[in-house]
Amino acid sequence: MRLLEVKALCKNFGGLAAVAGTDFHVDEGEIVGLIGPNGAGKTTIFNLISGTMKPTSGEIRFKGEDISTLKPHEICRKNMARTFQSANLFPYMSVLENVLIGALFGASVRMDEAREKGRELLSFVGLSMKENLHAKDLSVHDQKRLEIARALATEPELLLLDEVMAGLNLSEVAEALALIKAINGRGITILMIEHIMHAIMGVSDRIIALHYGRKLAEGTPEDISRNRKVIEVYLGE
Amino acid sequence: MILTVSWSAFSAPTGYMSLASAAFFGVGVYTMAILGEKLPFIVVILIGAMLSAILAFLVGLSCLRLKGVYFSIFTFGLSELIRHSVLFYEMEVSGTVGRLVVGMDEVSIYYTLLIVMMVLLIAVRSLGRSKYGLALQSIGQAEQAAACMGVNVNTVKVYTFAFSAFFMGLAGGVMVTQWTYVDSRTAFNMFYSFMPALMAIFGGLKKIRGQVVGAIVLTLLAESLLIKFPYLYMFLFGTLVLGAILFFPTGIIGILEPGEKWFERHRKNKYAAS
Repeated sequence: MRLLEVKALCKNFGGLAAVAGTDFHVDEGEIVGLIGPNGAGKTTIFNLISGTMKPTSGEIRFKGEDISTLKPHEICRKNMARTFQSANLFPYMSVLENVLIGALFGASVRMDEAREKGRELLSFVGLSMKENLHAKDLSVHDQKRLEIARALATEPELLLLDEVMAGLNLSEVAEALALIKAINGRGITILMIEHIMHAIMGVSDRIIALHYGRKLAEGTPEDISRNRKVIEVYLGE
Repeated sequence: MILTVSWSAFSAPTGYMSLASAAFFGVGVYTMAILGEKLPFIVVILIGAMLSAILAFLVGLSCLRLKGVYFSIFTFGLSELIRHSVLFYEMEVSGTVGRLVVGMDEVSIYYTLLIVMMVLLIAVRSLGRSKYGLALQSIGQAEQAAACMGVNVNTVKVYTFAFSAFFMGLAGGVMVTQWTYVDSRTAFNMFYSFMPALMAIFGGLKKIRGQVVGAIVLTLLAESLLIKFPYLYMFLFGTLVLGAILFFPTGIIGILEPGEKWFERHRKNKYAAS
């Protein structure tokens, strides 16, 4: 079933078309990778889908409903969550409180349930021991995991991950991959942006390559890694 | 003190520095001045507080989208605008500059203020511990992320702003009965916008006790300086506050904190030992 469907999506910043008529879709249960050089419009697409920005034109359908005019908190309550490229946590709140916000407002559960759920998610991402630290005191790796836990607390059906592996070392990337697979195993559909090629190729069911706000190619990881246009864009000839 | 704690209820966690306290205070004052003789005291105070809250609600809807210093300047301008409008209205329409207010004896004023203060402290404390307290903090620290986690950012901000204005209006309504005479300059004095912010920062923004301590210390300080050095008063006061903010950025409470932590550790050790 189509969970997310994007049609002829456009976003202009002044004269610059950051997203210039992109179409794609995400099916239920998939892991879809979004790749492209810097400035290809990947993060802008995330901002449009999650409601942080309003599209100039085009359509975004989530579970069959047009969500392009909704506000971020309304979209979140329709069970879509996102993480941010540069960790955007609540720095002076504790690790647990960060997750509580997602549970209390995104999933609208009561405080005691939220705590229970928050602790469960923290142990799922491996942050149980750190629930009382300030979010700002976590390492980059832990901050990324907390972002994921906070997003999961809103009970998403679709999770948008924006470069969760940037800045991680090899073993941390392997851990993050395992975590993404585990999240998908919980029945959550994932749309992710990533620059680390071996990582995104290994975990995605399908990959969409963007260039200058347009879709360049789409297919399985094997197709994409052999696609001439993609290789040209990435390697220059 | 009421002004300080109500101001902090909104501005401390969110980081939106409002300079409109005088407007909300003044609305309470004027409501009392106009209706004071016609209705029972308590009713008038509550009406004043409601009007303040409604004003804050409307203002909040329009200007809480502004961030940082823009918001401060807008709220400051707003309270000046209201002050001048009231002055204009009084001169052109009602043909007076000031109004007489039915006075109350000092004891009842004192107790009324005490009750308001208690209610406010309890309200702020439970607000801080509820999910809305968390939401306010999250807005102050990463507004965009809060919105994406399902927090209805605008609603939370607007309602809290109105909540804080409600108590400022209450304070205005009660305080004015002590003055017996008001004009727009005293009711909407900028002083009431700056002092709460100063007091809260001086005492320590993050904690309610910091705000309370700041309000008490600064009030006493201002009064005693005024008595001892009537000419140098403003100069000394300003220097002291400036110094305090420069050297103790976490406020008076911040200075005491290391000692407090030591005390808590000590106590825990004692429990552990016994």
